[in-house]
Amino acid sequence: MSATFNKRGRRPARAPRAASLLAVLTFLVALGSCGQPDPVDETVYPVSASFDAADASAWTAAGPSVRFATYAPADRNEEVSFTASGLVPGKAWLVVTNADPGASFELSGTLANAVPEARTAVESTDTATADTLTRYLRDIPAVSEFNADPWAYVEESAISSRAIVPSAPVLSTSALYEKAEFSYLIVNSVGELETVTAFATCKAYDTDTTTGISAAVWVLDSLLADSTISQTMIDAVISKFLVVGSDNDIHDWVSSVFGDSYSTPVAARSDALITDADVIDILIADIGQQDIKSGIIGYFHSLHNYQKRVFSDSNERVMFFIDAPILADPSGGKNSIWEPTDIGPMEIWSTLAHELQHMIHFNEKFVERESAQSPTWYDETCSAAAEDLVSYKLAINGPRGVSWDRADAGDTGNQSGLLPYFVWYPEDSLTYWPSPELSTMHDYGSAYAFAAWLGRNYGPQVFQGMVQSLDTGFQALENAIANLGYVKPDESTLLRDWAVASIGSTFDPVTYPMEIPYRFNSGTWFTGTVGSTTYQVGSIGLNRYRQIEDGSTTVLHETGLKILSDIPSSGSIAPAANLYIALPVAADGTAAGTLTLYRGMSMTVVVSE
Amino acid sequence: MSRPSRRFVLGLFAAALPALVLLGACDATLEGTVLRVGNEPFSMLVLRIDDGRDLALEGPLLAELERLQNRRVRLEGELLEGGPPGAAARLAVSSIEED
Repeated sequence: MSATFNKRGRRPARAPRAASLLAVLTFLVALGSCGQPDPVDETVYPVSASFDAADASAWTAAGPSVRFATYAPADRNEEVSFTASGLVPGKAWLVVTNADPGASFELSGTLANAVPEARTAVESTDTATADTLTRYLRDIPAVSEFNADPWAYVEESAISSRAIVPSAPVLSTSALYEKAEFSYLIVNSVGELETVTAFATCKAYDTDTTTGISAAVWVLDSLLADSTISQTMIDAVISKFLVVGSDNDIHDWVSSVFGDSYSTPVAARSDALITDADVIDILIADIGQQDIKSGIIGYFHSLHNYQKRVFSDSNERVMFFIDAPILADPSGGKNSIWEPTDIGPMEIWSTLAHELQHMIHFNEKFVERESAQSPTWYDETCSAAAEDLVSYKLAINGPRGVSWDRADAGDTGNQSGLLPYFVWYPEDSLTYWPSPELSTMHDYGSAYAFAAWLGRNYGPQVFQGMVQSLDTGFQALENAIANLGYVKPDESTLLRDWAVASIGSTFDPVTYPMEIPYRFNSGTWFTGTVGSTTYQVGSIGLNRYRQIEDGSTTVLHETGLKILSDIPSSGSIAPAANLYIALPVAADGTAAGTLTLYRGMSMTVVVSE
Repeated sequence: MSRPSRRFVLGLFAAALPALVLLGACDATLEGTVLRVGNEPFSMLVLRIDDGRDLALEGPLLAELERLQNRRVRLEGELLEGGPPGAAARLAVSSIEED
């Protein structure tokens, strides 16, 4: 082992410091050979395990009529020969969990009486409808053609006669009708992100006197010049995002759970980040270059929280960006006239909540607590939760993909929202982002499925704990749950409980009610209160969703949670993932098989009556 | 006399990181966990060293590093100034050793 330090491009004035450091490090290394970690025992030990459903004491109740039992090796690799008895055919499942966040393992095992590698679905087919195909803009191509003429950016000379206000943090006075130059990102002609600059005008400004926070909505001058964006649309943006009063806008609802959008840094990062002006700026820009399928509805970029001397592209504002063509898209309404209830605007309202969580997340972790940035899966899980929590309040369907006013799990064959991605590939890794050979939408699907499960069991408070803590990732989540008074879970328990809940969601919620933390589908609303705000989210039945093949509007997968009929003869289980298998039960109520469980893996048998 | 562990030495090296970056590019061997951090579409692959700071990873081995997310590794490469928001510096990786 060596700690190398070979200085290059040495600056003469600093050379003595480098030499000193080098000397110290060299001395430390020269003290002797460095400690080596203990060798890891890679032996696979043969063991046997039995799951007797007649012995209720060995099982955990997930509800009055659903139980499960888990076997997990104690920090070693094992080949488990297992038997299960007292089972009912069609009512037993095997969940294989890999709790290692960074390692995937080869699957090796056999199941007696299994039908090799066929996929089953808990509930079978349904037919796609034009209506359901058009609900989710982010992933369904060709929702409608956007036929406006190409927008031309206003030449700088054309606006030079106007009063240009230099880019600077907005202070407490209203920025209404001011102009400023912004840098922002577009998806260019080859699909890459590119930074551009343009002038914009502040077309709406409001202050919530109950919180002291203001919002300013800026619109690129080019979008005003060609009337792409109307004042009606702008007014709708600010009225959804921030208005006077408590518990009445996206900012209230999201910040109540997750925290502050920005705080003036007070310590180590104060020389790099901007000061807090209590203003959130929203720029309406043509991110997708008129393509509503560009994949970006809006974004938050922490670069703008930095001073220009650190990042020259910084706008030195606490801000996010939303896509003008999607905001202005009148598709999906009763007529061709734009309304805030059209598909595009509703996606924007949900996106405002999503991006505000990212803004808050950055502030709570990186600025206020000076901790490291969160893993992407964790940050996106929290944003998916934000969308879920505001869905009912905004009267939009949100990532659940069920009509916002329906408390139950909705209709079967549902292709809307994010859960079709999850049910099609539930063995996707939760922590690995982006998943190899899958679209990023699958990562969003898994993140939302996890967020939806957390929210329906631990309430919105769990997300507050996840964001307002020094830790991040599973450690923060485990602490957040423990701080709510529950037994502190570990990563393996969390993944297992999520899987048991996923299977339980496919049952009729009246016949098979599930208990915390196995709830997804109660048949009615789940409610929770943070401060003075009450949130409600609807039930989820993973047997109701159906995935459309990526890139196609015509190929449909089977409806329901993907449940295999055998242990795959080849392949692996991803990091932080569950694999679902229907346990083949013989006529005498028994099942048997072998399964290799590497360190970090576990197996769980789930049965229903 | 007890000998310093490898982790201790690497820790000292990490502690000296700001000074090293200020001094300009240098070769380094650093230990930590590979993570993808930050919100989309600005997520980045980093090496999180033991004091919690993130080094933005770059170079031809990026695809291989992507597959090592959430795993502990020891990386050799060139330490460079700058990096995306949230990164303490950049590390152009020339070799990877898994723990």
